[in-house]
Amino acid sequence: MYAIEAENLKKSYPKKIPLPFRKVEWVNAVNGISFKVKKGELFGLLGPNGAGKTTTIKILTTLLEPSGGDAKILGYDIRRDVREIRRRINLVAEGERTLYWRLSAYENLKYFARIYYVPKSVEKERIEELLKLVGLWERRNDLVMGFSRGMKQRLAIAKALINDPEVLFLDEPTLGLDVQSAIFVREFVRKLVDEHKKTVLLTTHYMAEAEELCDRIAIIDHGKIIALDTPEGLKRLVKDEDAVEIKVKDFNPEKLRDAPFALAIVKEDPTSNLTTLRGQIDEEDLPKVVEWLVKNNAKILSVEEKEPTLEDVFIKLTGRAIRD
Amino acid sequence: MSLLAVIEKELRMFFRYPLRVISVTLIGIVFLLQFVFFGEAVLGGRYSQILASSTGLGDYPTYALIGYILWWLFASPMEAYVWGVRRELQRGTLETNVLAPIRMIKFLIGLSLGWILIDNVLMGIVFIFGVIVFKIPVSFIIILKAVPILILSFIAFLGFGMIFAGLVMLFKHIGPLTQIFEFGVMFLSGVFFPTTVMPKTVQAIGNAIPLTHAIEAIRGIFIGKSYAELIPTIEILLVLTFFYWLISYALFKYAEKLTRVIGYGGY
Amino acid sequence: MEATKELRALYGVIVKNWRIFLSYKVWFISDIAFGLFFAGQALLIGIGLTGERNSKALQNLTGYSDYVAFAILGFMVLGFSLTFLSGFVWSIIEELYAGTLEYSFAAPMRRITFFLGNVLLRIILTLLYLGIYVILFVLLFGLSLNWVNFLKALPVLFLGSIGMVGVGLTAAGIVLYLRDPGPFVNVLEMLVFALSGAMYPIKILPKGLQYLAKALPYAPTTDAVRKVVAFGYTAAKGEISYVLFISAVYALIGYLVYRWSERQAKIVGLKSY
Repeated sequence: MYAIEAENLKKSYPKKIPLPFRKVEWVNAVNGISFKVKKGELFGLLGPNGAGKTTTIKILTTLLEPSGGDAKILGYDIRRDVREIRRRINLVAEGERTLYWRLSAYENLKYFARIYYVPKSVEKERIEELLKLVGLWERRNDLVMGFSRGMKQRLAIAKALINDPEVLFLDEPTLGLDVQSAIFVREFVRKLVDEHKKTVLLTTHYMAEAEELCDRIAIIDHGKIIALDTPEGLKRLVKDEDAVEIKVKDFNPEKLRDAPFALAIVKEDPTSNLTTLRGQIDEEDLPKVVEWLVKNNAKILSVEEKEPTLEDVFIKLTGRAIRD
Repeated sequence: MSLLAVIEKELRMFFRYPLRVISVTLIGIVFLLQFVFFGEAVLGGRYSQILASSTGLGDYPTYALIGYILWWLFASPMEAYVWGVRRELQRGTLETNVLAPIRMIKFLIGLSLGWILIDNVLMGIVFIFGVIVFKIPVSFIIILKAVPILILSFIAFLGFGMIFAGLVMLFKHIGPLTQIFEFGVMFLSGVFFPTTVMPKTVQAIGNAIPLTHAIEAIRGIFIGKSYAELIPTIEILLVLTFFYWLISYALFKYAEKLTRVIGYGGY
Repeated sequence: MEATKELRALYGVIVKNWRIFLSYKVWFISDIAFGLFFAGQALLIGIGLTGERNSKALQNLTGYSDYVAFAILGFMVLGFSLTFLSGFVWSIIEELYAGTLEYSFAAPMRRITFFLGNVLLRIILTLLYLGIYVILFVLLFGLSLNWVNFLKALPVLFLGSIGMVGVGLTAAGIVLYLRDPGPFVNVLEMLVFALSGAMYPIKILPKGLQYLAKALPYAPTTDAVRKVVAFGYTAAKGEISYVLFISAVYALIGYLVYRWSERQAKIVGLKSY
C-alpha cells in the first residue's frame, strides 16, 4: 500500500461563490496530477509560485474537494473517509499565522492535542517531548506573539506532530525563514523520515532544498507534473551538456523571446540593471550567443560554466527559471 | 473533550485582556441607560398609562430591562458564530482547525459556546445593575418561573443564530450586516417600545422572530401571569424553534459542502 | 518651504485614510443605519410611552417639547464629538495593529500633521454623515428646526470641538502605551456616550455623574448647541462661555500629554503587536 496515491487530480476554483442559479467562471489550478508516494519516503513538489502546489496539498489533506480525479491517503479515499484521514495526517501550512498568537506555546499544543483526540494519558508526555524536540521547552509558557518567525515555524511543526501522524504535509516549510532556522527545519524533516519512519510530502520553490532533501521530486508547472524522478534521475536529463551562467548589464529581457537558443533569467536587479541568464549551451555555440547578446545592447560582465542543477532541468522543460 | 478544549481556548484568549470584560459590560450598561433615561425624561416619571394599556406592563424601566436582556440573549449566538468564525479567519487559524479530525459543527458550537458563556455572564451583571439602579420589582419566585422560558427561548435563539453560522462560512464579511440586523430586531420585537406602534405588516414580520414571543412571555411572568395563560405564546415559540433549527442545519450543511469547493480563505 | 512640505504630507495622510475608508463600504451603510436606528428608537419610544409627539415633562426639564428634535440634535453633536475621540484614537490603533505606525512616526513629517491628517478626513466624513442625517430625519421623521439658528449653532460646535480635540490627543497619547488599546477606547467612548447628554438631559443623572459630565466638553457643548438652536445666542451666553472655558482647559491638557507622549516614545519605544 502507498502512503499517498493521486490519480488525475483536478481542481478549479470559482471566481465567485457558486450559489444556485448563478453563473460563475471557474479557474483551473490543478490540471490532472498523478503520483504515488511510498511509505517512509520524502517526496517533494517543486515548482514556481502559482503552479498548483498548495492546492494539491489542500486536496490531499482533505481541506478542498477535487473537481476531478481521485486520491487515497493510506488507502483511505479523500472524498469519503475525511475524518479517518484527518486523524492520521497533519499539515504545516504556509505562512506564520497558523497558530494562536495569544496563547502560549504549551497552550497551543494542548489545544490541538485535544481537537486531534490525543489520549489524555499520553498528552502531557507528548507535548513535553515535542517542545523539547523543536527546542522550545524553555519558552513553553511564553505567548507565541513574542516568538521569532523561526520559532513560530518550529512550533507549527510541533503542532503538526501532535497526533503522531503517519503522513506529514509541509507547504513551503522554509519560506521566509532565516538561514539557521531553515537549516534546522530541513534537518528536522530529514530526521523525521530517517529515524521516525514518517512519510513526508513537502512543497517548495527552492531548488537546492528539493535537491538536498527529497528522495523523489515531482516538478510541477501550470497545474501539471512535467517531470518526476529522484534528484539524480532528474539531473540526468541535463547531464550531457554543461550549464552556462552569463551576467549582463543593460539588457532588455523582453528580447529573449526571439532568441535562437534557450536562455532563462535567473536573477534580475533593476536598480543596477544587471541580469543573470542561464542555459545549456554547447561550447561551439557560445561565441554565437555572446555575439547575439552584444548585438542586443548587452554588456557582458562574466561567462561562467556551472554544474548542472535542478534549475537547468526546469529551464530545459519550461524555458523559464523558477524565481522568488 | 474536544468541545471543552475549544471553549477553554476561547475563554483563555478572552481573559488574557481583562479590560475587554469591562468594556463589554460598560457598553451594555450605557446602551440600556440611554433608552431608559430617555423614556423617563419624556414621561417625566417611570409609569406609562399607554404602555400599560397596550402591553399590560406600565413600569417603563422594567419593560425596557426585560426587552433588553432578552435581546442580548438573542443576539449572543449570532455574534458568537459570526465573530467566532471571523476571528479565526483573521488569525489565520481556521484552516488549522478544519484540518483536525474534530467535526466542523462541533468546532463552531464550541467556538460560540465559549463566547456565549462570557457574554451571558456579562449580561447577568448588566441585569443586576439594571435591577438595582432602576429599583426593578423582582422576586425570587419570578426569576424561578422565568428560568424554563429562558431556557426554551435560548434554544430557539441558538437555532436562529446558526443561520448566521452558515452565512458567515459563505460570506466572510457579514459582520456589519449582522449588526444592522440585530438593531433592526430591536424595532421588530418590541424591545424598548411596544410593537403596536408599528404598521401591521411590520408587526407580522416581528412575529416570525422568536425574540418577540420570548419577550412577551417573560413580561407576562413579571406581571404575574400563570404558565397556563402563556401557553399560546409558548406554542408559537416551540414551532419557531423547530423551524429555525431545521433551516439553519440545512443551510450549514450546504455551506460546509460549498466551502470545500471554494476554500476557506477568501471572498 | 517648510509649510508646503508639511501640507503635502498632510495631504498624503488624508488620501491614505480615504482609500482605507473606501475599502469598508459596508460600514458606511452600517453607520447611516445606526443614525436612523437612534432617531427611530427615540420617536417610537416616545410614542409608545406617551402616545404623542411632544412631551410636557421634557419641556419642563430642557425647554424642548419635541423629543425627537431633542434627541436628534444630541445625536448629531455626539456623532461630531466622537469623531475627535474615536477618529484620533482608532486611526492610531489601526496603524498600530497593522504595524505601520512606526513607519509613519519615523517619517520626517511632524507628528501633529499625522494626527491632523487622520482627523481631518473624519471631520469631512462626519459632516457628510450629518448632512445625510438631516435630510433623512426631515424626510422620515418630519424634523423641523429653526434653520437659521441651526447654522448659528455651528460655530459653537466648532468651539467645543477644540476641547474635544484636546481630549482626543490626551487619549491618543495614552493609548500608544497600552497593551490592548481597543477595549480601553470602547470604555472611553461609552463614558462619553453616557455623559454627553445626547439622548437625555444630564439633569436626570445622579449628582456625581452630573459633575463628571460637566467636567468633560461633550455635555456642555450639546447643551449650548441645543440652546442656540432653540433660543439664539443671547439666551445661551452662559453656556457658550462655559464651553469656551472648558475647551481652553482641554486644549492645554491635550497639548501637554501629547508632548509627554512624544518624549516617552523615544525612551520606551512603541508597543508592537
